[in-house]
Amino acid sequence: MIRLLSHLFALLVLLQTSGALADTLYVKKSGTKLNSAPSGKSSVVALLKKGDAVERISVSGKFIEVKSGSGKGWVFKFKLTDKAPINDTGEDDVIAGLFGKQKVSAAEASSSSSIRGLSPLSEKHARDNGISEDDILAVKKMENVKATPAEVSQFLEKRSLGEFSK
Amino acid sequence: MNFSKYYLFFLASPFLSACLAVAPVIETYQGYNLGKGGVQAVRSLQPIGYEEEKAIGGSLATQVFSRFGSLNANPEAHKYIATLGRALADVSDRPDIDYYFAIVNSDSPNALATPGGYIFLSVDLLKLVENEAQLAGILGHEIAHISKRHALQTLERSKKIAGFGSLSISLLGQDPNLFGKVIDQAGEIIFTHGLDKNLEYEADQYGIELAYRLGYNPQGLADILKILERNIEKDDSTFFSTHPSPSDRLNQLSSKLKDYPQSSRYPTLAKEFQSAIANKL
Repeated sequence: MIRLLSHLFALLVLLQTSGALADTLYVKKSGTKLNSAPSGKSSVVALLKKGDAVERISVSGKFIEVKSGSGKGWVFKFKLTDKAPINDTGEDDVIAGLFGKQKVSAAEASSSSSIRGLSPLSEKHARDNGISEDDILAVKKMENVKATPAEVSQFLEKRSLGEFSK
Repeated sequence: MNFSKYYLFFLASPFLSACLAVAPVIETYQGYNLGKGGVQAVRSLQPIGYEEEKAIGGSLATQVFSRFGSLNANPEAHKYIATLGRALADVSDRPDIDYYFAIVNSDSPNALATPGGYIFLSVDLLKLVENEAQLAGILGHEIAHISKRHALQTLERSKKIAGFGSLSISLLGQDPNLFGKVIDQAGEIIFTHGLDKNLEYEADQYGIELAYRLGYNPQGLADILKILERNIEKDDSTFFSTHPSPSDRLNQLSSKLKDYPQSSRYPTLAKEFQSAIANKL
């Protein structure tokens, strides 16, 4: 009996280290939709935040049914990852590795989204090196042309692509 | 091994896993240059953070317009590229940063990406594209370079700046010469020599995967590479000096495309591309 239990534990250790039992997935980007059904056309139950941990329940096509802190629902599978998000900085990676990822993920989300626009360092370097004002302005213009999540959804739905594919 | 040893290992394994996850970070710290009399074996630069990446990429972006041509001013075509690009970035492994797209008035077919999310397509490249699946393949390739930090990885391994150990935004701000050195090195990688060919092949494979994730025909990138092969003058093209030849890329892609056995059932969306781009550039 003890021998059998020993083998069972060995198997559990193997499965755990290989990730085969890991049923927790993580949201890759804030604003990810939790849908009521496995289709982008279904109603949105909640918007998930980057780094939110969800439990996988089942799979249907390109959607995964999950249990999240905001309830049950379906997420387009490419918006989830099995790797807990890590921060850009090595020091925080150490903290994340030892004490869990959630707080670090939230910090990363805010730091990534707060770094916007052409860096003053880039602008100064460009001027110091004779780059014209028109070329500097061109970078600023390209930074201002963005598609909102609603525009991306509309684009995909019109073409039956992504979470709207049949 | 008896039961109690297994039990102990089972209990300890999450801690061991955490230690293993932390190990590469510690290893990188060991690569620090401690200066005169300190550790001299500098292996590579500390991974470059997002703020520093953005400053490097932004500087290179200003150079793109300076080197290759002005920003194309058509707002509809620009918004169309930015929307498709954002959709592809959203299904990538790095969807949490901003990506910026530009059409460059250049008569040489080319596409390139600089760190920090900046992606450029030349007018003449877009004139060769036939459908949205091909465009998705091109954009997917460029997003792959940013998502996988290809240029930054190359920069971090560069011997020319290895001695600095870590590049913080405050250090770069205090030392314009250092920042200039970093930009020169990054520019050499992106504009002159190009990335290692294996990174280009990886970007091709990841590019078709991103197009496929959205539901486009994954053959699109291979199709535009065939068109480029027929249409680019090899002698005077930046495309050829910074990328492996289209035939080499097609050879590398052919085995990967077998992973998508029913690709013909996925759309190419030629009409959508034509109505968005034709007569607008």
